[in-house]
Amino acid sequence: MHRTARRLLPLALVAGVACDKGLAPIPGLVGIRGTVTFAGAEPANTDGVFIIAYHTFPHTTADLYSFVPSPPLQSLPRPFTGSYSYTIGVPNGRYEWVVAVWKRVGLLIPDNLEEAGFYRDQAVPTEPGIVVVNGTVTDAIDFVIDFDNMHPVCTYIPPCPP
Amino acid sequence: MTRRFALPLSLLAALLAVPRLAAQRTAVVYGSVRDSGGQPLRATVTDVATGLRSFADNQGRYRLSVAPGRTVVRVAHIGYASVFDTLTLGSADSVERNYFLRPAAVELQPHVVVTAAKRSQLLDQAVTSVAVLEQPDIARRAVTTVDEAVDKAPGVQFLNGQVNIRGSTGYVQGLGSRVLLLVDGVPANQGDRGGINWDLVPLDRVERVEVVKGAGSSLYGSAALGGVVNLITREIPPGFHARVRATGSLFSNPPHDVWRFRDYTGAREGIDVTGSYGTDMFRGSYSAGGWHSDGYREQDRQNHWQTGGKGEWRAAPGTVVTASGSWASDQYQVPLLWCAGPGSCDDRGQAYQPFMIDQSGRGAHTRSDKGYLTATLDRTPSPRLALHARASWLRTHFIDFQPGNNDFGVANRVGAELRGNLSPTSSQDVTVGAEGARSDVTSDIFGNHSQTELAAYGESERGVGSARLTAGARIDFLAVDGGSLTAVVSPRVGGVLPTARGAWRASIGRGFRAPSMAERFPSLAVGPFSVIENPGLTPETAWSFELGNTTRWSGVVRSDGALFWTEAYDLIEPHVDATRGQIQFRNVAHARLAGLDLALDATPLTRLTTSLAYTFLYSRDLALDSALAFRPTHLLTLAADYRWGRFGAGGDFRYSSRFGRVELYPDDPRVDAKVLDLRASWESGPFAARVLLTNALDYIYNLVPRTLAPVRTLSVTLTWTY
Repeated sequence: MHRTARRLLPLALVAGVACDKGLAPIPGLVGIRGTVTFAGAEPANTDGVFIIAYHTFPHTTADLYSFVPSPPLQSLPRPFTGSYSYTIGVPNGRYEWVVAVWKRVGLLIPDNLEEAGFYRDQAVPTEPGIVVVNGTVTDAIDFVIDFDNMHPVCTYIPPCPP
Repeated sequence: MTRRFALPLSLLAALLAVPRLAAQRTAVVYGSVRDSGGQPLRATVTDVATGLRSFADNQGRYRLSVAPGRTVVRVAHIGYASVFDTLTLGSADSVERNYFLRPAAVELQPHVVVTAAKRSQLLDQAVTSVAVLEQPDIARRAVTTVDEAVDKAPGVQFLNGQVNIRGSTGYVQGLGSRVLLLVDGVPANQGDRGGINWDLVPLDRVERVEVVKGAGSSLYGSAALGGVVNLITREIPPGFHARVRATGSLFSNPPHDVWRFRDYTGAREGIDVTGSYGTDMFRGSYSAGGWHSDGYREQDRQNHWQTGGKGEWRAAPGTVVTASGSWASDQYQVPLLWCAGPGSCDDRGQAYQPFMIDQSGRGAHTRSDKGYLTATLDRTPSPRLALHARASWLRTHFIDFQPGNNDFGVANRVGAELRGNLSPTSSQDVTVGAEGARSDVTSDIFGNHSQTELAAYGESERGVGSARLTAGARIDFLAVDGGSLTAVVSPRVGGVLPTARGAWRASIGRGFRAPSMAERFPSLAVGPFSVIENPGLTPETAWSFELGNTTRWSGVVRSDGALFWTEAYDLIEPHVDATRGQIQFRNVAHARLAGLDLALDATPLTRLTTSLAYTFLYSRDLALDSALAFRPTHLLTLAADYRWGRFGAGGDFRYSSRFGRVELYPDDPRVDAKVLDLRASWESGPFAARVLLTNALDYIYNLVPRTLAPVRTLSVTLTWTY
């Protein structure tokens, strides 16, 4: 029986190697948190308003879909008035554009999307602010969602239709 | 009559001719099979010439009808050395033969396979790699479904029900399997989606599984691009037999309190009943059963019901008419994706909750019914000629119930085949045949469409010196909705050379897969995207090369190694058009899959059997210049079983390296898969009890996006056999 035990030892060793438990809880959210303040009136054909983040500012239509968090996305809850404290889960990394996207009812195509507000650089408010996420929630990413001052995708990725 | 129809019609005429042999009397061999300690063995007793089999019962008793004359009988049981016995019997003779088998490692693989060349051949003479799971091995593992039984075969990996042979398919959510499923040689992939319903055949009806690796389209046509899995159902023994199998399982609760999602322990319970009765001329079996499962995660309940039967008419020695069928119904909740991100479930402050589902999928469930009917006629008019004809009907029907939207699909696949296996000389075997199939679908998401496939094939194997060379080809004609024909030619050449250093084999063959109707004609919404049709899809193709060796070392070790290389073209993949918000299946990918497949079986001690299977896989999407998604570089399976009288104990360990690339959620945490299964068994007369602890380490992992793989599960199976 000792010989048997010796010959089974390699199997036991292999099993021992497997003693980690695989995936584990990741306590606390890793992501971006802040408050959005709504301005203007919600357009009648609104499907939803989504907050997403880009590692790099999108320059092409294909880039436009390289956002996090991954679908399915959930719209901010109605009513789109006052202010709302949002949280999105995103991986660690550096984000060049944290933006609120307004979506018209219909397919997820650029024609149905408009930028409704984004997190701004504190020193140069006309420019997007950089957000760094590193193992926890990066807080105070606050900005305004202004339904009266939205910009279609072609503003950033031309050309715009005549 | 034109020449092109001459062969199939002559085959048909030969098959339909009622043999005068029916009037002849048969001879009978009967007796018992035991091990060297006197314990009865449920061994297989085979007439080598005709392939007809008898299975010993729990007392080791068997009864085999054979044709009068000289007969070679093979008595085999996994883990034991086979016995070959040559008998000369007169008409109506009845001879008792009792056999005793010795334990041996070299018998861990059976000698005869039927799938690699569409005829019986010695395993060592197959030009491609074949992995075989015999019924005792399946029973020993105490698994309850067919996919669980196939999952641990060397080079095979299941991704949420989708089978991969040497990384063939990856994961495409059940669509378009690049592996062909056969049930007793009859194609059984879904008519609409091209996927596989692994619950189509109850595991209790399966006698043996053969997994042929690499392109098999030269004999099997579409879908055999990456390999073929053939489920061979049990033969029906003479006399009355019955079997009752009851299974109960408990699922482990989540290992962390923060992941708890219910306040009770989930369970699974089921029962199968099988009865059969056979005479020398007529045999029939019927089985029924079902099970219920709470599932191991949220929204994962499932009910399953199944029934099936098989009837045989042995019209004469060498002539068997078989009819078989099966029907299964599943009602299951759809767990969809696990919850990740704030607000998508009760996240409890966690980045993700692997046991909970995203609330967008709450309430989704599916009803899936499927069944098949098959009739076959096998005639062996002489030792040099065997004829086979079959007709089959496969039907699937699903209804997806989703919040605010239900989808349905009804698909049929009707097929027929005529085949002849000839041995014009003692050193040559020729297989020729013709096959036809028609699939149709009626669905709100795939529309109403049909696809017709017509094919002819031939393959010859010839001995040249000590080597055996094989060459053959198949031509398939495909037509969709009655449109123009697309022709696909799939050749294969190969050879086997026995040497002092084992048997060497080499082969190169072409495989293809016709686009499924679900890939051609989808019309549905997936989240914010619309999936649109692409009627212009063409078949995806692949060239597969293999160089392998099988060697027996010192009588207790057997090795099988193979280098493989597959070059795949026009692979059908979903293409996202962000500008239009559309997804469309297109012929886009050019891929390379190459690597090493190694299997070792050994019996270092009389009662101990061990095996090791390792696959190294290099996979590359050459169009994107990146790794292919959902393919592990390393896949390792270790197994050991110790048998002591009526008791047995063993285990499997499966390691699958972390995927280099995944789709949909590349940023999600992912790990290697390390799964240890432990088992124990006890047998006494008609009773057997088996205990199985799957994923004993309760290793938490996922292989497909945001879909938790099964957790630790304790199962007890009790079987009574009469």
